[in-house]
Amino acid sequence: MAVAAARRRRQEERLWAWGLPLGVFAVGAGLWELATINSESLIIPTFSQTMVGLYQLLFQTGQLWGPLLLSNQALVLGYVLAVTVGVGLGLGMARARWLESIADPYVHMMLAMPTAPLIPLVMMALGLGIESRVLIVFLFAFIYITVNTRAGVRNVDPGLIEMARSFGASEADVWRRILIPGAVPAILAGLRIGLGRAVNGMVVAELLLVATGIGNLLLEFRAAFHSGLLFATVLAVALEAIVLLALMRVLEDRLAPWASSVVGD
Amino acid sequence: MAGATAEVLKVRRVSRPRALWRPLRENAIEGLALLGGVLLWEACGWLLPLPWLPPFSHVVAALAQFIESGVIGANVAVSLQGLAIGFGFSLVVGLTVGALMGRYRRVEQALDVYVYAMLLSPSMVFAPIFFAIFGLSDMARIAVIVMYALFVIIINTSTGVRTVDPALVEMARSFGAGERQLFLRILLPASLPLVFAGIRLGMGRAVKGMINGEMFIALVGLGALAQKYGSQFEASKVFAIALVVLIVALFANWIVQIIEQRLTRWAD
Repeated sequence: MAVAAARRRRQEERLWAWGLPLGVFAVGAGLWELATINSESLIIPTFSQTMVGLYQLLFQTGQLWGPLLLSNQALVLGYVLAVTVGVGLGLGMARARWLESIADPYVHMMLAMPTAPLIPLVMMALGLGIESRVLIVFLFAFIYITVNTRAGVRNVDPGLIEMARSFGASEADVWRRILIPGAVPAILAGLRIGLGRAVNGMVVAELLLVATGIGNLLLEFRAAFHSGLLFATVLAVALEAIVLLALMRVLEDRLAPWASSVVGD
Repeated sequence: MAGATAEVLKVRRVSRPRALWRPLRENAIEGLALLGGVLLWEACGWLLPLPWLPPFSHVVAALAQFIESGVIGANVAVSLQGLAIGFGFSLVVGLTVGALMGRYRRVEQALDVYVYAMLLSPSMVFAPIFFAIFGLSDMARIAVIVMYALFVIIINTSTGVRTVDPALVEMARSFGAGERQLFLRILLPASLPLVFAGIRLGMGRAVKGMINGEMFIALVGLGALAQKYGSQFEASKVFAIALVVLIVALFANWIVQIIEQRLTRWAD
């Protein structure tokens, strides 16, 4: 009897866990639909118009894929650059005292400083081409990767290093056997946070520097009062970010399922 | 979402931007590094013919001129007003929703996935929607700030309230505390450190939302000023504005820290 009751409890609990968010979704969508269905507004679409728009953009006209791909070129290049520089700088700062001392005030400044006011300067330096967008993505992402890498290496137990040394390990051995494995969880978390920042950078570059891909699409839809398509494009970009970051999380749990310390924003 | 808890927990110590004068006083090398950077900047500004890199002294001159003419003062006031309204709204809604999510499991189950989705979305992508709805009004600017600041406050508050030591709650209950007392005497103080971590992160993000929204709408505030001088290729003026934005960011952070120190004195 007790087993059956426990099973029923578990089933009930699962029903809540799925039912509640779905209920919130249904109520939200319903309210949105009701609020907009009679307004005949060119500015705010109904929920169903937005969903139909998303379906059209993705599968019917496929209008979204080209611009999305174009925007994502900057994301990929900028992110790869940020990972390379960020991890390198983070490792260097963690082990070389002098580099740490020189870079530290700048790291604090960059963590506090919003990146967007620098965009006009990027434009002056590199123009409106892909280089500028790559640089913006890089500027958004690299500092978080640096800081997390540094924190990861720093938090490795110094006792372990000392022990390895006393057994005759060289600096290279210490890195390979102790520092890198110990720092991997924090580095991976830094890569995930950096990716989130990079997507932000991609969007900001499209909206504040030059509208080439999705930025251009958004401008077009707004000018033509295709509000359903406008909302659908926004939704699609948000979904891309959520999917990418969820995948990173899965990867992180696979590669380093143990606990980590993380610096986010 | 246990990983996210670790994330917000550790954030406190590492990412708090220290006031700039502290490393200057405490650490000669770091002070010299800053001074060296400025000198290097000055030298490069003079020696290299780069239109985007004026000497540091020109930036300072532009800043002085801005202050003298009152341009900066007026725009900082407009920016800060938007920041105060947007952040204030995020604070009230964020703390309320976060506390409800942390206290009641059903509320958390209902909203958790949406709050995380909004936190992970690039906040700026919603700016065109706000621009479409609100036009050039202040509401568009403020809505962008709320998008940036709100969700991190909700998540940290909810985590803070949920992870309060159950033994404390049980003890309060066994001494006959009602829901109201439990909340005011136990949950609120015990969750304060995490809640403030969220408020600090929210403030940092709000400043970003402020400047990004202003640059997007390009009508008022520091962001609009940066766009204007950027399109005129006045690099030293853009740098001067970036410097002001940095000061605003540090100032906003400092305010939060002061309030936090006042409220969490019991913890020492």
